[in-house]
Amino acid sequence: MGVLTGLLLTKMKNQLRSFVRSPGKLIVTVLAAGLLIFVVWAGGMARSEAPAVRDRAELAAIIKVFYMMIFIMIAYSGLSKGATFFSMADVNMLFPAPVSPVRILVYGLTQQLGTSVVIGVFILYQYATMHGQYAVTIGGMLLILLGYSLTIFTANIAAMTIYAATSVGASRRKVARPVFMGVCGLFILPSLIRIASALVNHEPMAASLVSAAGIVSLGLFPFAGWLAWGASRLMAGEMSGLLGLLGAGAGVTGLILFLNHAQPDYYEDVLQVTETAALQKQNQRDGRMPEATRKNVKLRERDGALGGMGARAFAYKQRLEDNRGRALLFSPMSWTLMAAMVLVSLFMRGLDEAEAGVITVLALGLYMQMLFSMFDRWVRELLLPYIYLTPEPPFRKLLACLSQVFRQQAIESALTWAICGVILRMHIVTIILMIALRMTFSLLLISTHLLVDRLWSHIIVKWLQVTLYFVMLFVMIAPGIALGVALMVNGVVIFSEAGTMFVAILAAELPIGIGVLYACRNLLENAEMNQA
Amino acid sequence: MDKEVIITYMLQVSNVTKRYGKTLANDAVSLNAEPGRITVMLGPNGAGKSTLIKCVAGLLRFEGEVIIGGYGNKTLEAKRALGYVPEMPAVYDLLTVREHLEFIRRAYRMPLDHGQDQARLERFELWEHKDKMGKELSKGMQQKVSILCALTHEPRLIIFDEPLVGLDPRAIKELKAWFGELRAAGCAMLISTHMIESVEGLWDTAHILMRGKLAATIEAADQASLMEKFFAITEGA
Repeated sequence: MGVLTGLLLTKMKNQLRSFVRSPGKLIVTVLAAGLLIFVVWAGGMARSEAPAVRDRAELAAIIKVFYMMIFIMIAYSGLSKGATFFSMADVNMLFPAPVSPVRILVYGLTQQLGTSVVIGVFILYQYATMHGQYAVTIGGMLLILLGYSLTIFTANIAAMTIYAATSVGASRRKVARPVFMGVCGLFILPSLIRIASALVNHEPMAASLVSAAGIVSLGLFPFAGWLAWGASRLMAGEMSGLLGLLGAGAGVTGLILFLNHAQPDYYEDVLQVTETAALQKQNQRDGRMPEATRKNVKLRERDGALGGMGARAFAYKQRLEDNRGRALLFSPMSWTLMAAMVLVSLFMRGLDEAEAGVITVLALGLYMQMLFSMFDRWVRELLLPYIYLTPEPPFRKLLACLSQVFRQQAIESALTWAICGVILRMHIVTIILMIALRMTFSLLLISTHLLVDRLWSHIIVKWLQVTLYFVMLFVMIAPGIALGVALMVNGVVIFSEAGTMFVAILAAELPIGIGVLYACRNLLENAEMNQA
Repeated sequence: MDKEVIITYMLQVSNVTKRYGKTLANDAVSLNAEPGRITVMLGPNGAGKSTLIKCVAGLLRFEGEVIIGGYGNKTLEAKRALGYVPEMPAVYDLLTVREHLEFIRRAYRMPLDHGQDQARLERFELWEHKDKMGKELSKGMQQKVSILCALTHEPRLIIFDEPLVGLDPRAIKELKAWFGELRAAGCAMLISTHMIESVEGLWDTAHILMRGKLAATIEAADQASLMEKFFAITEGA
């Protein structure tokens, strides 16, 4: 057995052992596996062999766009910082060792493939929806996972190749960006033209988007297009889909050969990004989250200045940081959320049941908000000592700390729902209700976070903390849903059935959120940060 | 009677016990720090120094009592009197160096004093970097900013957790001189470190922690070599 194979196997063995040694890890893994089995069982129970509710072409379009977005984002990073499949231990111990760089590259790629599969496991949790809507089988889900993992894998190799090819000279770097954008544009342009034409001709948007995604040029998009095409074909039972996977395999081989020929000494190309990744990992371990912000932040007068005294100084500081952290009115994550909601609104515009569109957009917005909430500035504030040390009453500090989040989300949700409301032709009362729901959900997320911090901050296993967070969130949301169901069962209708549910959730969750926030008012007396 | 007149100890740590699950990080530790004196806390890795420091700073829950300037360490009065330099430099990514000091003044309701801020930044060779943001600073510069933030509101007790790590030789020299000035001004200091040579010649009282417990207290007046005493205690334990 070669030294690198031995290293990989030992790492895998120790990884498995760590599950036995850490009960927290084991519990979370068992819970995650149990949840997956439940999702598959529940999805299968809800719907057995009936045909797909929605057009399978929609699914093919979603997969293609999803893979392409992932591929472009990762490959694009090759223009600035490259990619790495290595850890600092690899850099410090393997690179100086008398082992062939090609063998080390293969070792890195094998590691990367494993990581890609692990990252993609979340896809399997979508089984119930996929099976219910598109009649996707377990095999189909595994195919989507395989395609996703291979997309990440190939995108990383592409990023590394791009970096190796462009890092040698300033002139190459200068032209690389427009060339990259131009090549992507060539593949995407026909689809954009198709969408524009649908908008001009007032064609149904959902069908137009599916048709735009089906244009041949998108299927030809390197790696992501081939893999998406292959996965969709194989899911439909057509073995020709294997051609997509074979094409990706041939492409990867070509890139590796090119890499080996053009830049056999690739160590320098991966060094910087490996160091950065290691630093980020260390920061996370130390409880310091990196800023999700622009790379090059410049001081601008329009961003404002510090202000306020005492606890209010934190609110002003956060406003200044927020202004600096974004190029335009909102943060990149807010723009993503808004764009997704508006896009889905466009997609849902032609539906017969207008309410279904509103519910879908609301659900998407809340789901994304939940994912993004952990990057809110107030969470980062709790990781530095200043807020705890400042001689102000803890509740006042907490409210000051949260005020900027609420202010920002009020503006953002008002704007988003105003646009979505126009697209979906919503009544003004419904729009106001949606904004109120979004703000209440925000309060609920914050309260849940505070509650978990208050009760279980001593738990060191992060995964267990995350699990507790979701359990508590569910517990706090449940009364609102129960109230809504109770009202509907008793024949109470406020505007409509969905309206009754919305109002019930609002009525139940708002006092719960405020109550929990108040119960956690002394949270800032202790940090329990950076466990020793 | 004015409370400050009767204060003998600026910091009184009494029977502090801190557990992380089953791990006992601090076991009934008691120690004091007096105004105008430098108290150091020494110990090997994992002795519980940083945990005790965080308990004193009010960042962790614990059993026992910590009194700062006559007040419980969680009170606003105690927080006003305390400056804390954490082990890992604590800076905001999106605030400039100068803004860090302004922010601290505001948070502590201190009058803005750009002249004094400039003088302190110059002392630590940070004035030329005053408009750089936290994320643009090297680790050493972040450490300097972190130290200045702890000193800005003129605390009467300052606790330093490994303050010299990451500093360049000039900054180390400057900080040591600053320790002397703060001592002369009547400030109490508690410095935690595992680099004994860095505090030789500076300290007045030394507490040695071993496995979470206070193993010994030595006075500089005993004319002892801290290094020799430390090894005698830790290796004999």
